[in-house]
Amino acid sequence: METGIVSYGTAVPKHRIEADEIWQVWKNISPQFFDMLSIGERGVLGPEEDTLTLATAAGEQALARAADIVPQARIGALFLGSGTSPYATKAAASVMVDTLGLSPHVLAADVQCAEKSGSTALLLASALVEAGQVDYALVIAADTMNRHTAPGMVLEYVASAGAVAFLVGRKEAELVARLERWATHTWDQNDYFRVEGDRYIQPGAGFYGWVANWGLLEHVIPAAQAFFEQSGLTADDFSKFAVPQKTGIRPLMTMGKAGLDMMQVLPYVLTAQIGDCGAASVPLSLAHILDWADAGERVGVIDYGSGAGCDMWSLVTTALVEERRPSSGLVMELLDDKIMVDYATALKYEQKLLRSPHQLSNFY
Amino acid sequence: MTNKIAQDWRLKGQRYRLEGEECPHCKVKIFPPRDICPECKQPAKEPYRLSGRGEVYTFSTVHTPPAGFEDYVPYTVALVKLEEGPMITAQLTDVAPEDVSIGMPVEMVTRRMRTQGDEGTIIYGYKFRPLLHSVSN
Ligand SMILES: [Zn+2]
Repeated sequence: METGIVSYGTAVPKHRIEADEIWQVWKNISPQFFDMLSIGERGVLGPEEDTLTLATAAGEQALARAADIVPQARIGALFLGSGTSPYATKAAASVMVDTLGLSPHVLAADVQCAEKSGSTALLLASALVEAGQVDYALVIAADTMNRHTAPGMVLEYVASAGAVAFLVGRKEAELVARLERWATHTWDQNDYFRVEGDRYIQPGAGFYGWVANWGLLEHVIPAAQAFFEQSGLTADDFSKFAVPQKTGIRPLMTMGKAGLDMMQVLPYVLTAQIGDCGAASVPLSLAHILDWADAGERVGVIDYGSGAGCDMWSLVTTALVEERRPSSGLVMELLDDKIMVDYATALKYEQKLLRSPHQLSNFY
Repeated sequence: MTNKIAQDWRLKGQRYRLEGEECPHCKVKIFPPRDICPECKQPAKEPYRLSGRGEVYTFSTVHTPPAGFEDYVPYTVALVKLEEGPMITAQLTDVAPEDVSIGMPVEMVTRRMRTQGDEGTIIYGYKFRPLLHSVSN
């Protein structure tokens, strides 16, 4: 590949909840499993937040960080990778053309491939950039898993939200990281899903036990094998990996089976701090890696989408990753900047309380 | 709900990205756009996108909300003095009312302005939050 990342931006909800707050109400899992499942704190969607508002915030940050080198008019494509667009019919990406102030001649689309929507959107965008069809493409991975997870479901302990934007370009002198190559594996295999008209995501294979992981196993291993075979690289050629991290130890054991060393993975797992951000989860891990990376590091990205597939791709950081390192707004800062809420407030904010059809306000 | 699609379309520039105007005569920045310069009274129709950064000029906390704002109480409405000059009225978000102070640096964020249940389009627009993401490299 002849493309790479010019800049990136991130956003997560500022409101958070501790797992114990949820547990006090439901008591549906033994707290002794919290550590094993990376259950700690998760993001709570503010009442006026959704996938599009988070994606806009991340996109604005990525654009602002590249404003000195990339004129906004040269951005030719905008892809929003998400499984939880606020609209079932209507492209959220076209709203974002306006919220971000891009040219109306931009090729914009929502891309959906479960939790790997953002990864897949990035590979598509990169091909357009590499072919010279567009100069730059803005790709945003965003999801609101918390809005789409039912109260009382075990996944509620981790269901979170977030957005990560990548500005993709091809001018070597502008890239903080060069994309190297990719491989993928896709077939139909039931895992988390949500059917038309439903609000809540259902587990196709459950939350516990090995069966909960069969989708991961059957996608991650063959995708990684294909990648290593085609590239001639081995896991040892990588310094760090951003990997699926929905529920702690089991996904990480899958990474072990794919040949990764836990020390290449564990420092970049953010689930206990922010939960499962869906399509933004692995990209957030990658942004965290880029926040601290040295020049010349090879970073692997493995992104799994439930019931859909797995992409694996690699990138190599350039000297610019240090020279153009963001001075603020790092992922760690974002995670530390929070307002804790209780469970009742989380239910209210995420629109999970039964509402009166009549006016609530006593002020007219 | 009332469907105001033409009005929503006309207002999207100012709602989504603080698009105001710049007076070609005296260079004053204007928001919301009004096509006449409030300073020199000359025609002023040049679009100008404001940075969205500013500070709280003054504020008030709402405990008894109008319909549609019940989810946010207590919330703060502020006059925000933008760094380019214009004063703008907006809701503050991601901040507890007791943490708001005059002079506090804030930045614009795009949020849902109305949540009207299952019907109608979603209206997005500006709110302001405490300055977090500095955009410098
Ligand atoms: Zn004037």
